[in-house]
Amino acid sequence: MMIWPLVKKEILDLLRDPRIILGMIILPLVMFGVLGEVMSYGTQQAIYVAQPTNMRIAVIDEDHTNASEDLISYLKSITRETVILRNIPNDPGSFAEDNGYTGVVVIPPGFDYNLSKGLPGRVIVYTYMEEVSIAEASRVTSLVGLVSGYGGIVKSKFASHVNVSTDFLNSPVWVTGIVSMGGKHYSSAQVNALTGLLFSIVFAPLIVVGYASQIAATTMGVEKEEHTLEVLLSLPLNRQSIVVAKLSGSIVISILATLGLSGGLYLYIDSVGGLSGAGGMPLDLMRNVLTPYSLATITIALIIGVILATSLSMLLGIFGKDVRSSQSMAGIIWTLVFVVGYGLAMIQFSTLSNSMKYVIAATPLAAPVLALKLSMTGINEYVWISILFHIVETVLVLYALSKVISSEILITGLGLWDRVKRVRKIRSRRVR
Amino acid sequence: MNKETAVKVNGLHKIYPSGVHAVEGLSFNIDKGEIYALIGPNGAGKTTTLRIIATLIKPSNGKVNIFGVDVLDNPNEVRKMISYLPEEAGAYRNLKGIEYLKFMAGFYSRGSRSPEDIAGEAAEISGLGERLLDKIKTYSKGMKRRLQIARTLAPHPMLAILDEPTSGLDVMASMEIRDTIKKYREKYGITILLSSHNMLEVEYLSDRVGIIFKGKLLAEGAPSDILERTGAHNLEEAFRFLIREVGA
Ligand SMILES: Nc1ncnc2c1ncn2[C@@H]1O[C@H](COP(=O)(O)OP(=O)(O)O)[C@@H](O)[C@H]1O
Ligand SMILES: [Mg+2]
Repeated sequence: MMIWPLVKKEILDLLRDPRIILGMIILPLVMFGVLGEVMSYGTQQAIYVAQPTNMRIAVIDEDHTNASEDLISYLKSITRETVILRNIPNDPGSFAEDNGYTGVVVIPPGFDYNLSKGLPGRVIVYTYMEEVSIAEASRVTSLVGLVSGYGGIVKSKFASHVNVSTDFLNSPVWVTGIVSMGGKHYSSAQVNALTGLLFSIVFAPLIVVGYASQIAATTMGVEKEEHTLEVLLSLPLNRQSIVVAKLSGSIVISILATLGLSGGLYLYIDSVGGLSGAGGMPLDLMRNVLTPYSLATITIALIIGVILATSLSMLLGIFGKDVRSSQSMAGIIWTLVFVVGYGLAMIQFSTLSNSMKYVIAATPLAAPVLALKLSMTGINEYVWISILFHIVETVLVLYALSKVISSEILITGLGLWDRVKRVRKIRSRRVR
Repeated sequence: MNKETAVKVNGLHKIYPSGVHAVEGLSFNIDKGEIYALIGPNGAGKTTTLRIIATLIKPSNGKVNIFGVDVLDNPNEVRKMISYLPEEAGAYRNLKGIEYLKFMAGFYSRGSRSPEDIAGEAAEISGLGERLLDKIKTYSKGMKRRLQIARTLAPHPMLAILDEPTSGLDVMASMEIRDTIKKYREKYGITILLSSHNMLEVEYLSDRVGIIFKGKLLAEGAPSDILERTGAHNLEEAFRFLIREVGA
């Protein structure tokens, strides 16, 4: 086949460029390794809180009947601890959060009456979410599921009744979940919708930052490839102004991309949200969740994220010898954004140690995702710490850029690869 | 006569980051208004030397100054005096020729000359006529080179640095460019430093030549002086003679 030499040339051509190997093979390997660790940590958190034997719940029995007693002993048998309270606390969800309970279960009057009439018995479960994360959502879901699970026992007891309703047969125990989060109350279905939403919108900063980074990374690569760089660098203009011009160009384009993306995302949430049956469209939910303050914070975090990503990408892209290798350098940023986005959505930030929180806040490009994630429960100081870190990082990167642009690296490269090869050659000569 | 010195290169060395020692102790001076050609085979170090003078890369050792301004200490000042034509200069492909000339002229306008004046003059030098209204990506190699020569000379720089100005061009196009270069020196007193591996071409064009080989200067002087000294008929022969002399 005549095609083989061509294929061979294509592959060799790609593999000969260390930047492509770095950007496209080694980095994703490392990054996804890290992501895997983070994911499994997040999943472990979720599994842990979902285990009934790890749950500590408070029960308020307002029915005082055999049926309610039976439900309580069922709960006692499967949870780590079930504590009986006399009165319903003011805000049961926050009460649970403050006192280390997984949730507060209220059995209202009429529970036994309903069951004896062949109607579903009602139970209210109050719990909380510290933040929107898989682990937190899984606590809500499993607590609600735990109480609903009692329905199976009820069914076998009462199924012999002649006049049971179909509602009863479907779910003999009706559990209403009420979740307090960031000082507001949501149904458990709404909470699930929000969690799903978070997973779809962590892509938003991802895409915007990705655009910005691609544009910025290739801007120098294009000049090299088209041989316009040498002319540009010999012009009577300040080298820094080249950086500023190129960055502004990339940032303007990225902001346009952000606008387009926000519009698309709005439509997306609107139509996907319609399917969730979460009691209110997710957009209304979002409006409810996002205060002007948190929206402003997200915007600031996104803008600083875009600026950091553009300057970082331009810095990395400078070391590419052409558009292709600059792009693979920008792949580093993509991977970073991807790992940060998914990792942060998975993990429960609020339970991390303080030093871990700082590490995450300082991770480049974490700020927009962190702002988005924490906005639902109320922006906290870590978002601002993260934004501050990003500003410092941006300043450092801009400084490095201004150093590189006024050096000769743009023309000569670093020659690292040649140096490695030279050392190897000398070694192999010695061996012989 | 006490001529002003345009370019002073003294003990210049360049070692690239990769370890290649491209220039090894080069020294030469160029007078104001002179056409000076660096000639030598591929890889001799011509481009490297011109890049240093054009402030694109830095000398590893030695001194270079342009009209008294040091390229390392004050590259921004040097850039105001020079205009550089790289060996492989490209232009922004999606611009029209005339747009490119205007864009470039914008950087050089000062004093009495507006960007429009400079761009207009560049359009004339280029000789591209109506084709200036087409996008650059539709140009042939020769047309692109003429566009580049035009944008380099039109601002009347104090020093024009031309790396292989006629490389890859046919005989007619090369001759036109050589004539333009000569004309500009005569008309505006521009100092011109060019490089070429075509030794016959520089014989016609330059006042003085420096023959370089492996980063070192083998000989320097007016073409006729070099021919006389080496007893050769043309610079090519002279070059072969000089190489044999250094035992390369
Ligand atoms: N960017 C670079 N990195 C490493 N070596 C280079 C680079 N550019 C040129 N060289 C080497 O420097 C030497 C001189 O090259 P150059 O100045 O381009 O010669 P010329 O222009 O006379 O053909 C050659 O050996 C060349 O391979
Ligand atoms: Mg050359």
